[in-house]
Amino acid sequence: MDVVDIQIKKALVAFAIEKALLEMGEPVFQKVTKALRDDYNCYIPDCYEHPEYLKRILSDLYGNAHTAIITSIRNSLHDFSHQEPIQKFVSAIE
Amino acid sequence: MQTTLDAVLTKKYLIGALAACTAVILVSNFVGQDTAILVGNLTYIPTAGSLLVLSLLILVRFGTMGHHGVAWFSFAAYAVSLFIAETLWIIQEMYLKIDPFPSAADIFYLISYPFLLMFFVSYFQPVKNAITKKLVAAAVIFSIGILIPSLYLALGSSPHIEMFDIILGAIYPIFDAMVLIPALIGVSLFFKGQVNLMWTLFCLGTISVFVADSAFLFAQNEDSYYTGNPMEIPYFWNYILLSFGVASHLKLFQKAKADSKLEDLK
Repeated sequence: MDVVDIQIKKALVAFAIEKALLEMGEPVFQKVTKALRDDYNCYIPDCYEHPEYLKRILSDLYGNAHTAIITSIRNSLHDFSHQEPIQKFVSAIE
Repeated sequence: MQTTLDAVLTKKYLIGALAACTAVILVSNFVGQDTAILVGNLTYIPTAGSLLVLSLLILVRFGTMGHHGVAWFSFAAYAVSLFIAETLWIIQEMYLKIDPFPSAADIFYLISYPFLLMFFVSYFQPVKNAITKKLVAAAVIFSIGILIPSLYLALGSSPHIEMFDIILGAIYPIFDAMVLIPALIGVSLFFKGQVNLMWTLFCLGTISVFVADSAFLFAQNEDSYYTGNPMEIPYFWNYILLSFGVASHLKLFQKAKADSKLEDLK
């Protein structure tokens, strides 16, 4: 996979995460981005390589309900789920 | 992130506020009924007022965009209608010297319930897939389970009160039981999450107001009710619990200082 392809997939994943969080509210998006930065020194596109960071932050924040937010992210990526890296990302956050 | 120290401090202040409110009401009753009525009415101003201020602050923080924005807008409307209701009650009892039940205050108490339900529905919207039928059934059974005995006890007493007053009085515990269902769902749904502190406090607040409304109906039927009597303590607890719940959420989602500085530079 070339660099451009990775960048496109990163952007797709970042878009799906941002969409799910912004649908809840901007402070939720800010809270998650701050937690990513403070705890892991990374940003939303980096969740493509480290889905476990996002999973942990959402679980810490919303407890049992974090699975529903993850489902929303997975649904946004549904059209691209046949691609292996996206499939890997989705399986890792579930 | 909310630290353990924050959580402990929140609980320390919360317990202090609940204890202080209880002590004030009990001491005023010890002094006499007139003092209790005065103190009871006055205590509603800071308790309902703090909920109003905090709900407006969280509305400013979340705005009206997104599901949580709509939720907090509904919650602010709930706090506003409760504050208006309390103000009307105080004016009627302390200034106009008329019986505030039933009165225009009841209109505002009653319209606060749909706003609270709207808050629950909007807040749950993004996580609705996590709500199972089993969870809803358990919450419904619990609510009905506590509603039936309380209505039976409250309505089974003295029959010398007007039917309209009894029906109006009975509507409150029924509505409380209805809002208790989403409150219980919230506690279970967000279990182990940082937002769960708010949901636990909201649930305890709803239970408090359910107990107070049942006691109010019972005392009203017995003709022994007066503002500021010890049975009203759960009403004050409800405001305190909700206020601390909103404050914990406000703290959890507070604007990061670095972000504010960056925005200032833009």
